[in-house]
Amino acid sequence: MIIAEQKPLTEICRIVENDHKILVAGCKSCVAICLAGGEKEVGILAESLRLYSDLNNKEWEISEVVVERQCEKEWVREIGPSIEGKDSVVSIACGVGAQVVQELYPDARIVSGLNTSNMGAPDEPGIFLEKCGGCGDCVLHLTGGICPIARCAKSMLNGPCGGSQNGKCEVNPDTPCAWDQIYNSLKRLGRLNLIEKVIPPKNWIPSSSGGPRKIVRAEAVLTPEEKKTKEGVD
Amino acid sequence: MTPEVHLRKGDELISLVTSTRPARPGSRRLRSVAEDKGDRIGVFICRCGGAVSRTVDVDSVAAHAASLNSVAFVKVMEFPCSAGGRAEILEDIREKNLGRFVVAGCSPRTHEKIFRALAAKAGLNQSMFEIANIREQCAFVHVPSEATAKAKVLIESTASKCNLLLPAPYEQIPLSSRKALVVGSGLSAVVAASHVSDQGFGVILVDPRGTSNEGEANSIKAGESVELFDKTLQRLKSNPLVRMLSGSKVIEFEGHPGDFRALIQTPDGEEDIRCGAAILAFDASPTHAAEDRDRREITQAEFGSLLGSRVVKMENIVMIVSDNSSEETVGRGNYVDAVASSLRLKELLPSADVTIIGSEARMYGLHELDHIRAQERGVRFIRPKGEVDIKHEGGLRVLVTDASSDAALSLPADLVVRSDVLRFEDAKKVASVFKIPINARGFFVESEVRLEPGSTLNRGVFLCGSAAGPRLVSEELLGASTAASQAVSLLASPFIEAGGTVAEVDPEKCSVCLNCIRICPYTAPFINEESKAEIDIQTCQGCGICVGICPSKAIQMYGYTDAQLFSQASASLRGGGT
Repeated sequence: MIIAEQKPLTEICRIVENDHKILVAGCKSCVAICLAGGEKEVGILAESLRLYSDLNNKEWEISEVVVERQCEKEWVREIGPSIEGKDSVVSIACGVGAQVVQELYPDARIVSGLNTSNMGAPDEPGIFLEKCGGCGDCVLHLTGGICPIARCAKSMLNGPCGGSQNGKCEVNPDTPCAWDQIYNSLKRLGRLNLIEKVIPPKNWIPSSSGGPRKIVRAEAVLTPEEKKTKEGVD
Repeated sequence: MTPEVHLRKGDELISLVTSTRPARPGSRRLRSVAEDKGDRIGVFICRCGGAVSRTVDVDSVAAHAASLNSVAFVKVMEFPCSAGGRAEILEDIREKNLGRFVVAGCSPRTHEKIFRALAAKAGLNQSMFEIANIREQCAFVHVPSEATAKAKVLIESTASKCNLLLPAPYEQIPLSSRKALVVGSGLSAVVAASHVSDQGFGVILVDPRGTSNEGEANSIKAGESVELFDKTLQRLKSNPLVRMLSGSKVIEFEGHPGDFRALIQTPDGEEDIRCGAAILAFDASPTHAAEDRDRREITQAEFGSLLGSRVVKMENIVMIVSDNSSEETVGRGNYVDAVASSLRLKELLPSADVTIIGSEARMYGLHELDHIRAQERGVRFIRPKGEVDIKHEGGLRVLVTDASSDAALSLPADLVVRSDVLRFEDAKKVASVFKIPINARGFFVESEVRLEPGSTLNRGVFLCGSAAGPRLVSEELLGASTAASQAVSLLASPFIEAGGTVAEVDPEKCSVCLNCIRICPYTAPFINEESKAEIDIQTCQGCGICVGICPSKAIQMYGYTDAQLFSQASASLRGGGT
């Protein structure tokens, strides 16, 4: 899932400083689970903005809405009426959600109330850890199921480096060394020979170096005729 | 396809496989009746024989209550909680066709149950009433003018909440077993088992250490308790209600109060048993000293068995009592034990020279008499200053500085006796089987020591024995009877009542994020067949933690919904029309 956290309230207030009618829009998916942008957080942020407005005579009009998934047009269309007439929409979905809303409503001012951080997982209640670097060329089969791109501070493909100390990373002693974890995992799996395999320099083209990535599933793509029919139906 | 979720909790993987737990019919009740208001509210104001009416002007309060839109009927009464008072309310509910009511009187802590029963008797849902505390929280703590004004506010806000009350789910579940499972090997276990069986309930005594077979109580020091243990054990053995499974342990435990299932590993294989309640009567046991230690340094437990064998020949005995602040898990009765064994030694060998070194002479209650007796028999007491050292070369010598005289002493010793270090090795394992928390020192945690001693977060599982905290033998006995009486009152009840103030998930809002499952201390939420979170009302304790964490605001609690709380808060802030 996508992990995000809310921007400081003062920053959000500064972003919408000169607006009057403000909509706080949440998302019920990833950001709800990581306690950053679900219905509860929408309520809390909206109430905080109202308090800020009252204390600073801003006379903001704050309204609230939550969507199933802000990254999907069909869901976002449902909130069209709430967006209408607003000076700004504070999206507390991830950066993807905020952009999809902007695309659908190009005339509305969509701002993000969250800092979207990473692709990760809940580790224990209230703690979320990054797991995947989204490099587009997965090596988990070579590394005992542990991603060296996301979990090694240096994204090393042939580790560990000299900074691995007692299983911890030299960059942050609270972070376990990914290559120490990889070693132990391979050992458990009886595949320690893999650690001796030199992984050649990685092909970074599928990663983010080539501009926004596009993935096509041919069987789901509509033909021009089908598109026309669909438009007719819609 | 049935979704299957595995979460790590403690050392065990708890499987939330859902196939056995279908969605509860009618679980969408809370949302669907949210609009259900407009019932006629009756307000019954208690004078409490003057306790309230001396301070609060009840007539003016009644007039204010009658002016509220939602209130259909107001009555000032002397004692609404008395039998006569309740009969009167019952009549009024029927006659005036009231759908819900407010009692303005004393604390719900003491009176909620009474009025819940009254609501049921009147044919209302048991949750359709609210208590406004105008006694302890008002009449007792304010001057008359302010008390009257506050009573008005309290009644107004309570009535506005009452107006939004929803009929809560209540279920009466029959007990499938009226037997108690008692687990433990020491004194607490046999005493708890005998208390339960004495009251006519069956007991399955699972004894992990197998001491009940050998008739040897290895965790017990003082002579009296050994005798009590043996006697109780003999009684249990001849009692047909008691079944003993020696050398066995519980490996799985699940279910609800009145309907638990335990898988027990016995020397003859695994056995599946049913029980209605469980008592964990584990005693922390003294750890064994290291193998390579000086044989002349022993623990109180070892000294106890030495005394039992009655062949003590040592003349010079020095006892070192560790204080309770030490990091190690030590008994509460360190000093008591040392004094008791010094007295027994003096009986066996009056010429023995005994010194007790300890910084805090903790002699609880009547044990103080032993302290005096020991002093009379010539036992020497030293309060140490700084460290106590032992010199091992040649004859054993204990080096200590006496705090009162500052004299450096060197005491010859044939034997040095140290306090027992108590540990409950299996605490973590047992806790995860029975789903009860343990604290940082490795003891089981009671749910509420003051209000419900002996009970745990897992309803129907009770605690006694020193595994619930360091205890004296007398306290262990008290704990055993407390746990036994708690278990018996559960086993004796005609049915188990579930529901009331419980949380409920709105499946349409639930995003199945698992936050409620991760955070609930009672493991009440689960994922049902419809792949939505659901809260088991038999397990839910109404703590509200899941309501707070739910990011989708899908969980609400009966009696404390957002709408009810907001309405109560705004009515309070409006301020009783004054």
